Amino acid sequence: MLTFLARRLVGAVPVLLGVITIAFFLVRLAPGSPFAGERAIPPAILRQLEAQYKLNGSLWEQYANYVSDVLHGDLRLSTRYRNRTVNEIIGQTLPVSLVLGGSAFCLALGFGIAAGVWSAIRHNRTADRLVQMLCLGGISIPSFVLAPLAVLLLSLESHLLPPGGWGSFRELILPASTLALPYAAVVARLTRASMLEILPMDYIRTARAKGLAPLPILFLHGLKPASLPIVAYAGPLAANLLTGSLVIEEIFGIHGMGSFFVEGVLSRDVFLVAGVTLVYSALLIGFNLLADFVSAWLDKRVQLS
Amino acid sequence: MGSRWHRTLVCALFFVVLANCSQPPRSDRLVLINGPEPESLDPHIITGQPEGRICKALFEGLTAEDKYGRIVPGIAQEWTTSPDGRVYRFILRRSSWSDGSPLTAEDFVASWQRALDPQVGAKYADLFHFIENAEAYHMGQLRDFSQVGVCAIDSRTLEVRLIGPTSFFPSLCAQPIFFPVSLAAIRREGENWIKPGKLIGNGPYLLKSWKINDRIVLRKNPRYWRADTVRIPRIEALAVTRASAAFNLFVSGNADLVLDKGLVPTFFLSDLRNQPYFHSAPFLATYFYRINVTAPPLNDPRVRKALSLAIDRERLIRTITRGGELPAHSLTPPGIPGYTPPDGLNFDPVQAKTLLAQAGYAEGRGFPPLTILYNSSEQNEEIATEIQALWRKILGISVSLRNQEWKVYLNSVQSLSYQIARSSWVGDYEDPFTFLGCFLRNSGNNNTGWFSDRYETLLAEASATLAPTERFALLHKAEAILVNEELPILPIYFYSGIMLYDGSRLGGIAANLLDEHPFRELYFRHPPEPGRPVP
Repeated sequence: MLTFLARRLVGAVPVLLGVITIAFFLVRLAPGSPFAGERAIPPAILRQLEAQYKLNGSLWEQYANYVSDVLHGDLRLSTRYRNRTVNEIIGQTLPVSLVLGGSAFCLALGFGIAAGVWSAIRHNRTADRLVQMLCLGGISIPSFVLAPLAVLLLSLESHLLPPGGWGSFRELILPASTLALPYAAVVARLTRASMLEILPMDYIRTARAKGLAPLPILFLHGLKPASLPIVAYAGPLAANLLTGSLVIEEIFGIHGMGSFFVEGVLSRDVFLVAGVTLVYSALLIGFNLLADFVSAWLDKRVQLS
Repeated sequence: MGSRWHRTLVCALFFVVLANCSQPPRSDRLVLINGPEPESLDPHIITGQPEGRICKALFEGLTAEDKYGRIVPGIAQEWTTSPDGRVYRFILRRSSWSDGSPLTAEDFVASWQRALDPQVGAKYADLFHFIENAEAYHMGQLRDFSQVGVCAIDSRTLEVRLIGPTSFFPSLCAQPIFFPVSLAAIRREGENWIKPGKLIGNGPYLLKSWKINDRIVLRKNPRYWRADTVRIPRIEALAVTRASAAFNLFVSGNADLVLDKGLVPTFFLSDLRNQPYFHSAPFLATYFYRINVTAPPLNDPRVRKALSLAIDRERLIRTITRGGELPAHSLTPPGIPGYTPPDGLNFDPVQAKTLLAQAGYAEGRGFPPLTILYNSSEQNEEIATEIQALWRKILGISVSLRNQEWKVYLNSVQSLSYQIARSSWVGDYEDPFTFLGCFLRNSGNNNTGWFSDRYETLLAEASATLAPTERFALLHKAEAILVNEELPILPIYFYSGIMLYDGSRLGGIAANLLDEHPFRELYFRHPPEPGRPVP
């Protein structure tokens, strides 16, 4: 298992390096200078700024310099948010995205699995159809429709919850649940399908015949093996939720990391883009690795080698 | 099962009750929506309005703006001008930095030297170019700062020598680039000098906290020289970029003031305009089309005139912008005291057709297709589409539209790789020169390939003229070349500044051309006084 871990971690290094390289060259080769604005700056001042941010010299020199700085843990000063390092920006905004994404992840798994199991035991009955219908709605309504609708109904009309902001539990409820809903629907469908496959199996019937209580049968003997596809889905889901909450962050005015990725690209802030991409990729690799370990723990047939 | 449902219900009810305990109206702190996350709070570095608002709360220059945008004494208690208008002498009041150390004329000299230092790369440093030798120092041609026309006569007297009589120099001194900064703090803290707990300012407020993309919290500065007039002890400036998020926070009572005109949802402006909390006022900024005059057919002034005459500006602002904007026939917006911009060209389809025919393209025959370039935005597209339709209908010419993402668009405009490009300019100070100076031959902001010797001479004469009436007459003549004769630009509309706030609760805020609303003047009327007119 340790060799597996070591191999995966070593394998991650060229991936991350590749990600940085692509991000660096894409942004540097895009037309437009990070320092350009509506107001002209004299060429002498522009050269000075480029030197200050180590964006002078040939592209290869800039790249080599940058990679060496990154290897020393320095993601450099942002050119868009001057006086701030990319490390600082990520340090301040990643925790926000992690809390939002983490809450949404728990909600998506919690509600999704519960609804899926319920739907499976009520297979083809009203409850099942209702859940199926809700799931279809959850998957098909995009978050940029759902979130403003939720704000309108729960916040502006009925004043139940704040329409935006960050810091209190009440401010977390709307964004986390609107972010979680489509994923909860996917998890519910996955769980239902998987449970429907497991529940008619012989060993479940044997357990029932031996007089085991229905709940242990359902959760220990049924859900545990049935959760393998959910775990496989949960790895990328976690990375998605933790990093891809950009739309929700914008709608609710939450200062997560997502908006910096977009702002970095628009303002040609190469260090911000590369830094944020690096963190995203590391998270994706990390969560996939975690999902592999959980799968192995759930199903002894899975070999980590 | 029954008891479980019961518990769930109680739980849900609890949340509803908890959620309904809304806070009482705040009176000890003001929450305002400031626009995008500031790029910096270093007054010498910043370029945008959201940054400027915070900087003006943290620092104060020799002069300052009041709530009406008028120039009032700041750190300078008074100033005198030499008879030729070229030497200003500022007498500083006794005031101190927020750490208690005295603020002196030498601090101003050192700060201005920093702002002009090419190493710092200040983008607004060209506002200093009115000072003797400042341009040479800024461009690195002069190394000795003592030759630049700024010197401290003693610790409370600052003398500034200008290259010409510059009547608007006191209003420049209220700009962030002219603010004093603590060089000791910069030397000590490096890039971190503007962070909370480290920033040393001299303005009405102190920086309490700054969470990136979330909010900046300001606390009243007890050492500010007129701290007794500052009424709101705490201000929270939220960084919000999405108009709907800003509007939701405002209508739900979570914000008291929305300051950025980009933060008002445009799609229901017509309804919003009738709300009592909607405030709009003319703003010193112009939306115009720039023309690349270096290639045919746009190198012919008659063609450019025809294009301008065929734009129905009234219709554009009535159907597209809808925020109380004014149609623009000149580059300089109206409202600058003492200056009346030229009338420019009005919508006149018949004359437009005649001019195009005189240029050899009767009914648009043989006219090569044109492209309008704009930076991607819904409103730019709507305006370009409308103009495209007008030109096709009136002039019979075919126009295509091209949108580019902001940085690509800037690149195209600055390298003259366009035919007609959407542009805008915001005045830096209340004087026509801030607009007209852009179209000097050597201005980096020209970007049209156009120049005129007559225009250069008129502007140079104006810069050397002391008497305001004569100076404005010269500038008027120059602007007439720009918008009546040559038209390297097609003015379209003058922007308006939009604010959302409840005038019965929040006072100390007034409409003004510069869209300046100093925090130090704001106050809560409490209890709300019914019937009292909103200033």
